[in-house]
Amino acid sequence: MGPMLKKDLLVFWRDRKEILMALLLPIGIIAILSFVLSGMFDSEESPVNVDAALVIEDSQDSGVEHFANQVEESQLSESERERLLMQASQFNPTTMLEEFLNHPDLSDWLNIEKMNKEEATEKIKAGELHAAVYIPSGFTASFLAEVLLDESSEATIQVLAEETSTERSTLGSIVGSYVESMNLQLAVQQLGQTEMVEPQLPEGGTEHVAGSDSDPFNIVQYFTLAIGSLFALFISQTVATKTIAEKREQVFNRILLTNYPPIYFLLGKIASAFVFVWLQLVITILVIQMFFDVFPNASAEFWLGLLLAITGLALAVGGLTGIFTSLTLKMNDPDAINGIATVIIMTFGALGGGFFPIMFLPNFLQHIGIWTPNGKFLVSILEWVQQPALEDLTAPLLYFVGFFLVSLVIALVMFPRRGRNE
Amino acid sequence: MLETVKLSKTFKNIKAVDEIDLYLNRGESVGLLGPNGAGKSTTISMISSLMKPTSGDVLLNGKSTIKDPSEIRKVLGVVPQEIALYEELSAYENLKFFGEVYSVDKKRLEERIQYTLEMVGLKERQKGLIKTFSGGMKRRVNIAAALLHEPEILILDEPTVGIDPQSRNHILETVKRLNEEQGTTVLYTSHYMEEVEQLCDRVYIVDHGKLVASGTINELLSILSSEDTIQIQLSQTTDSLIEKVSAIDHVLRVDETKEGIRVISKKGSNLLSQIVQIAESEDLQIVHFEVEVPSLEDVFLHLTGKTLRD
Repeated sequence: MGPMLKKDLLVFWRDRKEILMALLLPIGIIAILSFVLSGMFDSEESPVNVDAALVIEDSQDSGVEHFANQVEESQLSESERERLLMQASQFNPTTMLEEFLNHPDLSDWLNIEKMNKEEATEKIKAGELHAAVYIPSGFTASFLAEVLLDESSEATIQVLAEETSTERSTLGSIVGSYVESMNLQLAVQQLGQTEMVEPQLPEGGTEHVAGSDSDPFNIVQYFTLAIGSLFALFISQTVATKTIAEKREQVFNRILLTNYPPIYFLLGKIASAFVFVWLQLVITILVIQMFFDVFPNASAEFWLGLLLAITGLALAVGGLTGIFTSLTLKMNDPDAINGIATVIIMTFGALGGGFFPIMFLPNFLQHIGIWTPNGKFLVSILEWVQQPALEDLTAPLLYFVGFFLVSLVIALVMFPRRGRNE
Repeated sequence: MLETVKLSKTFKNIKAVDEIDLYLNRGESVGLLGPNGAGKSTTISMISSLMKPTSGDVLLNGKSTIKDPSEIRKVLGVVPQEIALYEELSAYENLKFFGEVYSVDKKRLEERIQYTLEMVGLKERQKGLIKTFSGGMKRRVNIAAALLHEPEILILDEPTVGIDPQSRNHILETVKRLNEEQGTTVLYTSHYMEEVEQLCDRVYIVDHGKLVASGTINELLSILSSEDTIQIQLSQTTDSLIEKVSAIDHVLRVDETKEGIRVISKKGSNLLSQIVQIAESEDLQIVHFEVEVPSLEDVFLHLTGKTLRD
């Protein structure tokens, strides 16, 4: 089989057009997508920048004092009063909101400045500020009475703005979620839990696919692997359809006349497709990594897992090449052979997430998609990026070996007996 | 050494080859002549084990090769009509690849590559890619690839189609050397009559898949040896002249040609003086005349009613 593999590698290497198609095209497409999508999803700068004022007319001390009077006047027991007063003294909603709005994690996209109501109103009118967070007088007393005594709230936080805008909505939504978070915190305390619950900070604009414990898998990584694996599938067609020329130009017949086992011709194609796919994916990912740092700070373990998955995919594509090669030897119409191969690859490509993210597909198609070689590769690396665990790669690798073996059997069954035309 | 017995091939009710019997003795050079579509390539495909006959057999030293073609493949070198080489590889790389798949010993292969390249006159161009070669050079490498394993029988299927005269001469000389100096048995198909006349001891003529004649060149020419053909160029041709010449004793046929007439008569009829007299009586001038010696082309025309290049 050695001469066959050597010959196929040389023929492919000398075909500059094929080399360009196999290497530069995926790298080019991924590079363009990375450039475009980085701007859309992964920019370090926030897509929304909010300039806002913080207007505080509330007084913490007088609020707690007002709340203490309310408690004293109530019909509650002494111990209950003491517990409520102690909780009230520990909880300062105005200061906490102020600290929250000045948190370093928000400072990238939220510029907040403390000022009085008149100044804030003027700046908003002048267009210097998008909005103002207004904490009215009596807010602390009202908030404590609402959450601790279950009384209706009279004073609420307001977001002041001249007109509706993205910035105003964003500010409104983070203030709203913060207040809800404080309510939750107090409710938890009421139930007797002593540990404070950290309010969740809003995210700045990165698309997170994974759960909170894992590293996120971003859209650029997705397309790097999806397009890489899609082009890997095309290698099977390229390698197999070289057989058309070998048949047409009687080279295949000349090989048959040498008494060389024809099956080695088939195995040579499978082996060369394996080598091409492996090299193509490794080179593509390395180049993209070098220029775009698609997998920042990835561990050696991650790269090892990725190499294993690439090897698995290359094996599966080798099997597919075997089927296409046997089909080429069996059929006489090159257009029909190309058509069949293209339909199969495009179907695998679409279902396996090569053209658009697999999660946008209907559920039943997603289930089919993950059983395509490229889909399996994509999903396994998607999981691997988030949480590298060797046992998670075992199933995909077994799948690739299984896919290869089934394809090999189909290719052998279809392979013409002795290469002789009947 | 090699023999076909009632070899036939039918493609969807069309008989491409119809019960062809031929044989090749060791060291012989045999021509297979026929126009395009006569069934030459199909016959060769069946002999070389690439195609299974519909009926009949191919025998190598009396043993059928149909069920087990491995024996004939060992001793056979086939030069197909197409350039069966990898265009992206060099001449050397192509020969190395085919030598390896022929299982030629590694050290011996290097010698064979250099020997065959020298034989076809391309030793200096061995590093050149096939796609950069002229048609003639490609055909010469095509022949070299069939010689790597030192075959006893060499089948060449129209090896000189569409090439320059220099390459053509080189190929013919190579085949002649192989046959005469190394005793390689040759089966040479062509529709170039002069090549077959130059190279082959015996000739088979096929048309419409059938064998129409066979024998040595002289035997085939003797088919026409009972006739003389005289080409006469005249100042003018008249019906009266044709009528009078046709009436001469021993004249078999008179055809009008572009420049005069062609007279076919029994051999040794010596009609020239009578034809001169008739021409003078008709007031016509004889510009030129020539007694033609029959060629294989004439034999083919006589047997099939058409020329080889039809």
